[in-house]
Amino acid sequence: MVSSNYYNKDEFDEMLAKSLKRHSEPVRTNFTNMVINHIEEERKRELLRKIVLQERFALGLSIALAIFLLSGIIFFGKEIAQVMLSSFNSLRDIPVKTLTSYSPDWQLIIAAIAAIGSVIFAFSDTLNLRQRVIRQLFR
Amino acid sequence: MADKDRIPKRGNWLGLLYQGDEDAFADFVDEYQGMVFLCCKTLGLNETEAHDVASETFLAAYQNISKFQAKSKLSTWLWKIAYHKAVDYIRKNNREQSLADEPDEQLADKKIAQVAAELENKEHSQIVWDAVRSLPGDWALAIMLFYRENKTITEISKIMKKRKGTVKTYLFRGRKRLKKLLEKYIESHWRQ
Repeated sequence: MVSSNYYNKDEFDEMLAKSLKRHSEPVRTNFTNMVINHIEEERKRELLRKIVLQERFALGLSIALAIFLLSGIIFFGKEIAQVMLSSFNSLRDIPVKTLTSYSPDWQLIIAAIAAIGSVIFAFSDTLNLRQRVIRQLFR
Repeated sequence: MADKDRIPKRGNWLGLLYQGDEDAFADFVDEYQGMVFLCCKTLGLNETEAHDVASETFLAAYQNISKFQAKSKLSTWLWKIAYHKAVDYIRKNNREQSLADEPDEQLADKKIAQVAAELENKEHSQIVWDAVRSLPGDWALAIMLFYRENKTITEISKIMKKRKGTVKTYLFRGRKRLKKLLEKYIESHWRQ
C-alpha cells in the first residue's frame, strides 16, 4: 500500500515538478535556419502580393483614364478640338497671349494635364515595379 | 528562470528584435524552440505537426514582435502564440474533442491501465511526461505551465485565454488523474 504521506500534496507536486523539469523535447537540427528561410520566403511572398496589387491598381487607373479620355473625345470632341486649335494658334503668339487664351478653359486644361500625367505615372510605375520584382527575386 | 537570464547576452537584444534584426531573431529561435516544441507535444501533436506549428509560431512572433510591450515575460507571450497556433491546427484537423473534455470515466480507467502498463521500464522523467501527455491537451498544458515553467494561475489564464477558475479546474483534475495514473509506478519505484 502506498504510504499515506505520498498523497501529501507537497510531495506529489514536488515529484511532478522535478520530473517535468528534467524532461526536454528534442528539436530538429537546422530548425532555426528553416525558420529564417520560411520568414524570408514569406517576406518575398508579401512583397509580391503588394506589387501585384499595385500593378492591378495601375492597370485599373490606365483603363479608367483611357475610358475617360475616350468619352471626352466622343462627347466633347468639338470643344476639345476648338480648345486645342486655339491653344495651338495662341502658342505661336507671345507667352502672355497664350496664357490669356488658356485662362477661360483652365478646368479642361487641368483635367487633361492630370489625365496625361496619371497615365505617364501609371506606366512608369508599372515598369519600375517589374524591375523591383526582378531585383528582389534574383538578388 | 527569469527571461533576462535566458536571452543571449547581446546588447539591446529586444531592441534588435523590434528592428527585425535576423541574427537577433535567430538567437531568439535557438533559445525558445525547445519550449515551443514542448507546447506542441504537450497538446498531443506528433513530430511533423509540431514542426509545422512551431514554424508558424515563430513566423507569427517575427511579424508581431513590435506589438510585444514587455508587460508580460517574453516566454509567456511566446507560449500564448504557440498555444493558439497549436489549437488552431487541432481545430482545423477536427481533434478539438481531446483538448479539454472530461473523458468518459470507463474509457479513462481503461486508458489509465493501458498507459500504466506502457510506463513500465521507462526512465522516470519519461514516465511522468508520458502520463502528462495522456491527459486532455488543455489539462496537460496547464500542468506543464504550472509545474515545469512555474507560471502563475494568472499567467496560465492569459496564455490559454481561459478564466482562472477554469485553469484551476484543469490543474485539479489533471493532478488527480496523474495521481491515479502514476499510483502503481510510484508505489513500486518512487518510494524506494
